[in-house]
Amino acid sequence: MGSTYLGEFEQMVLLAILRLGDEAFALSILDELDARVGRSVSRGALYKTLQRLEGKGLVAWAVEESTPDRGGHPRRRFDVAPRGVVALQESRTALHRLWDGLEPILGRGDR
Amino acid sequence: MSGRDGGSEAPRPPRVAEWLLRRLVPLGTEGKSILGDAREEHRRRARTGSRAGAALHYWRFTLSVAWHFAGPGAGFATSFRQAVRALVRRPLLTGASVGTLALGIGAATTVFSVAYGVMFEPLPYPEPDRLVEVFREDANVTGLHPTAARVSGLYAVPFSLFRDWRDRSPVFSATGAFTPFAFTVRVGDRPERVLGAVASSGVFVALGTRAQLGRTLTPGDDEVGAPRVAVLSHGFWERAYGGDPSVLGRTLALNGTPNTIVGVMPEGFDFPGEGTEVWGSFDDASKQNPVREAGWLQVVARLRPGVSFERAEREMDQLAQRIIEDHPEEAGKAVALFRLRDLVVADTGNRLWMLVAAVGSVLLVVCANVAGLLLVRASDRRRELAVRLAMGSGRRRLGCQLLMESGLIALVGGGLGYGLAALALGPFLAAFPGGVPRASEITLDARVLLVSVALAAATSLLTGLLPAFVGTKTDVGDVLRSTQRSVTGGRRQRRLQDVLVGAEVTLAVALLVTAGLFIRSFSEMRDVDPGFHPDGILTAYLSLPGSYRQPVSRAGTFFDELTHRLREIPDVEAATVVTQMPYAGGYSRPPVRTESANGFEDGSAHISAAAPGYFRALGVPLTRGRVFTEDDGPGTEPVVVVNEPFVDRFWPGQDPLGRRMRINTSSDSTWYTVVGVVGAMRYQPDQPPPPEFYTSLAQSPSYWGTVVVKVRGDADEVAPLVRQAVWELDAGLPVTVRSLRSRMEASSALLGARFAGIVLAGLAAIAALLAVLGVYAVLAYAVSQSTREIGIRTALGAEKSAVLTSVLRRGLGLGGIGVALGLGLALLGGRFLEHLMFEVRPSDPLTLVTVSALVLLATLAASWLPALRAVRVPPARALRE
Repeated sequence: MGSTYLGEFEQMVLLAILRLGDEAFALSILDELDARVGRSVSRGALYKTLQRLEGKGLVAWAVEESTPDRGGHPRRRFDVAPRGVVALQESRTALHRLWDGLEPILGRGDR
Repeated sequence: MSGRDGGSEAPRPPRVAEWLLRRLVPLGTEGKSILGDAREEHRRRARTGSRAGAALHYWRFTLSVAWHFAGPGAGFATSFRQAVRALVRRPLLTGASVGTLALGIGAATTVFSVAYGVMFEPLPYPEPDRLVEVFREDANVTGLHPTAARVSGLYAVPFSLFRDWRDRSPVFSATGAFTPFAFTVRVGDRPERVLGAVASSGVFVALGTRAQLGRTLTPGDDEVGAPRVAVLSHGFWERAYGGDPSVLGRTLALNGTPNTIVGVMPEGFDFPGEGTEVWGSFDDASKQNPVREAGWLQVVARLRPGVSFERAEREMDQLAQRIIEDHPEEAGKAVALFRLRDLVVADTGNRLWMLVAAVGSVLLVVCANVAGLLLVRASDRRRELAVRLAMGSGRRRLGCQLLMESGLIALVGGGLGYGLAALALGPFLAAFPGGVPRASEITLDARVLLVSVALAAATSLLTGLLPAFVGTKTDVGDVLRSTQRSVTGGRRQRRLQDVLVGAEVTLAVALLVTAGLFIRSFSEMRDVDPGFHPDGILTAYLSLPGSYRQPVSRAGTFFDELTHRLREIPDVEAATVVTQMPYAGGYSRPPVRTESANGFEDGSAHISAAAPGYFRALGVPLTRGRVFTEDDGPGTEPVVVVNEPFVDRFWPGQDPLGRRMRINTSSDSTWYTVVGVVGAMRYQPDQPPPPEFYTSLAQSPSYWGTVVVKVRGDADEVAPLVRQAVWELDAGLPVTVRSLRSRMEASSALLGARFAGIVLAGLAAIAALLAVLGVYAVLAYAVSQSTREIGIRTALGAEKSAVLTSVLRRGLGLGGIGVALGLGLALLGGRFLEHLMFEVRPSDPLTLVTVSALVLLATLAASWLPALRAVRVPPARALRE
């Protein structure tokens, strides 16, 4: 089985879901990305990405109870599937290999 | 949990956005959770911020989802590629659709851009809605709108009255007097006639346009004793002076009188009419002219800030009353105000509306045609669509692709149409009769492009929705199971096609009838009896410069000498002079007073001064008394010759010979005696001959007039000799020799009728062609789809003639209904257009019958081919397919 290529945004979404654990709802993912990365994400892009990740088998979701604010509509809690974890690991390895040795040029990049 | 919101204060998201979002999200839990997220965020923002901000965010949420799930972000590229491929696969159908749309949108864009430029574009002056023209109304004269009687002596204003208005009116911030005037100037070493105007400084102040170079006229120029000055148009400045900035201060002779050039106007300024090149100040005689009864000026004014048009009308009425108290001879005269824009647009507006309606009809026919074509294509692809649906392509997705296809057709068609319009605009403007007011301001600008695009989008929706609807409603199983040819497309589709084609025929018939009526109108106008014989007559208008007015006899001597020389030319039968010719485009119509049995009668009539031989030269019959002779000169009894309508108006049923009349102004107290009556002459082909009286030119000398030369044989050969005769007497006079016939053909009424006829005929032809093609296409397609049925029927013993008649019946049925509805539509529309037609009624039987017969024949012909093809289908082959 070949490795699944992850786009940058897809990686960010998966990582955010992992960070949020049991609180990985769509709106929370948006807040997390905004807070951690300073990236304000278009809603449509997020939903489309989640749909794509689900199609690739990297993400799964479960239905949770609605809250008063949602007008009766259900809520989805997202989870990274095992294949998603593997894909993240592979991406990180690939990136590390490319980054290796470039610190003098690019610096440490800490914020 | 139910759908109820918790809490009474809970704000709801914008309804429209929510409705949209519901339709954009995927079906199922995924979509519902997205809706819930949107709601939750909306609530949160309403709590922490403002409701408006929350609503705005909800909209952004919706649009973002729209973009990614249904728009370009949703695999747009794939849909686009598929759409292009689908179109290219059927080049004939695609080409026909694109071409038809291009034609319709091109015609529509051309007409709409002209209509917009003339009727809706604001005039190029600051705050143009505050500009008005002020006329004087005479209670004795009815029926003439100022635009038709602009300087007729009745509506026009004398200088003295203008001065009163300017100095005493409380409602205008600026008032100016002007009159169009033709000047003889020297450009290089050639004498030339240029259009211009004599104006007061108030004209420029009212219009609010500054000079580009130097200055405009100022109040100082309006004073008695001020030197004569002139302002040039941008075009004249470039043409005559090469755009030289040192032109200021130079002298320009206008009609021989030196004027100092003080300014140049910016490009595009041409008040009061297109082609105005020079503005000159008034001479002292005009400024001091005390005459109040007859006028020759127009007045333009700007409303003071805060003054409404209605208030201005009221206050000017009151001012008119006060003026009458000071000048009792003005009793019976009132004031009339008109918005400047209404006067500029005037007659042209009516014609344009008609064209807009006609082009709109053609566009509808085009849409119906393209819709029909796309419908055919959609039903042809039912199998392909059914397969794709079966393989999981969403209904919505497919519908979107079909819409995209029609969108592409509309886009390309619209683009081509815009290109066609760009090519057609110039010739269209040039061909418009009498020119188009404000033609220089008309371009295919961004606004028009937007209209083109909107038209294209509308047609795209109109033509795409139908096939998209039909295409995706396909019952998949049904289509896949059946064999290709026998799927006839259903009764609903057949009805749709019939409605479309029926509508096309209806509109085409209405257009054809209207075009036919206008063509008949034109031919009636052209053949109308003018009251004289125009063949073999050459005319040349001459305006002698100021040097001929001192003494006044110099002009008379000039014309005498000229006609004498002209008679010496071989082939010239007669040569004479008249001040006002019929079909000349203008006239003079002063108030008159006639002696009657019970005292006096007041009215108005056309006036002209003629030299002996005039009536004979034009072939106007003498019905009573005599015409002018050489003896009717200065110092003898003043005489007039009147025409029959004059007698009918003032002395009906009585003998007019020996009666007296006078021109009813204080400056002319001469009583004229009627010595003869002549036949009536028309001034315009579409107007009845007016009452007219003629004075002897020798007794009323004029420094301008038209030389009339009757030629035996070839008039073209004599024309240069006429010119030469003029130049032998005065080489500085510009002279253009025209035949009377060509003048008549150039009359604005005739040109207008011809233009309308040609354009309507062209549009009607396009519509008719499309409609007939539509009938053919529908029938041909129906036949091709029913070959199996037909084969079965013939195999079972049906007569070939029965098959033939069934096809023909459908075709003629479409044609018949279209003709009936189209005639009704034409009669309805004719009511609005009746006033534009001449001697033709909208219910003209000849036109109606001819068009009906033509269209029915055409539909019969269009049905024949498919009918024949139906009959020729061999049963065996049909059964096999």
